[in-house]
Amino acid sequence: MMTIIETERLRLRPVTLEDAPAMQACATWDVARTVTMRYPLTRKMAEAFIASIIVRPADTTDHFFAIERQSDRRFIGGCGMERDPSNRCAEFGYWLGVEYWGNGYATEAAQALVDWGFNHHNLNRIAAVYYTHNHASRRVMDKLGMTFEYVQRQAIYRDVPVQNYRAFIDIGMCSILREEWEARQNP
Amino acid sequence: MSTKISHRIQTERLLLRLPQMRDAPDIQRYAGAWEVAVNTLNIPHPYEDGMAQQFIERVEARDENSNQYTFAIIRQSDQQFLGMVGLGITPRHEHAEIGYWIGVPFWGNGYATEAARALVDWGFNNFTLNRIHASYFTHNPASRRVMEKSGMTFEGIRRQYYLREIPSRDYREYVDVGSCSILHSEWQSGRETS
Repeated sequence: MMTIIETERLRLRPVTLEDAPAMQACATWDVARTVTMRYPLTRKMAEAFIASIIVRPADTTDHFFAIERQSDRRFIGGCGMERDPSNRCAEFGYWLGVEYWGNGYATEAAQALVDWGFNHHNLNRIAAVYYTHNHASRRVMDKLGMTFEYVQRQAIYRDVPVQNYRAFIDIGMCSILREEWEARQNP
Repeated sequence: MSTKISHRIQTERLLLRLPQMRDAPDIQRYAGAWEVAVNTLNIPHPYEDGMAQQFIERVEARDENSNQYTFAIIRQSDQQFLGMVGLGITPRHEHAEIGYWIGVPFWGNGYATEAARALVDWGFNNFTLNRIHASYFTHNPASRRVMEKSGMTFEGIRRQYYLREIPSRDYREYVDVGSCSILHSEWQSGRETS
């Protein structure tokens, strides 16, 4: 079962191995330092990652979408949502290649994911996390009407030898509850 | 790394040691209390015969690759079983989570704080850790006080994070989860000034 979510300008669709070159091209250091992804992302790693997603069963609770721009059908980034049905909650994430920043695409994709989560998966809470140095990501969450909850101090460790980068990262968490999302639908 | 780590921790009044089969009746008795079940995530309710034995078997079967360490809390003066405390480590991020419960008859004596403090020290002393954190349900503020008395800083609340269901009591509640943490640097300077 192929889930495709269309927005005004984008299409969130299943990722395929043909996306590997574009994914690799998007995964520059500016992107990799803002999300938990391996750097550098080789072609083999991109293909292995995509292959691991493709084999997920239809009833997976761990969803990943390629973000495709409708106008030119370009792969511009990725997004995903991991659901916890027993707690009726989920966490989503997203990233875009640098050349696509500044157009509101992340907000558009994230809003679509949130709507899909509440509409199709009977969720009560949807959350997202961001590295606190990534202010742009926090702004996306604010625009979605999400509430900032708190910072987990030095919650994760990133070690990127080729960048000589070794750091504990503060992780900020935002969330939106079903009742808040519904209120936004009916202002 | 962990071949010679002692799993016996002594504090002023307590002994933390691996749970044993003879603890099973006490575990069932004290973990079976509603007040304990409603303030924790994974304790079944009702706590039926055999469950304590299964739990102890699972703990005994672990090797160090599990990165999970569980202790019974024993009062030294009379060898009374008081509760349990544990540490779950995520080596990749050099952080660990601590959890604990105390039997209701023993509340109000600072046992949780004494055990939690000891486990925080044990964790930082024996493992490469940068951060130890703990979570509590906001309807249980006593647990937050334990964390803060153990040197942790309150970080924030995840709203309606868990759906806690205890069908035997017709209980179904979204719980807000608060979190506290202590960083290695804070633990270190806490020790230097004490």
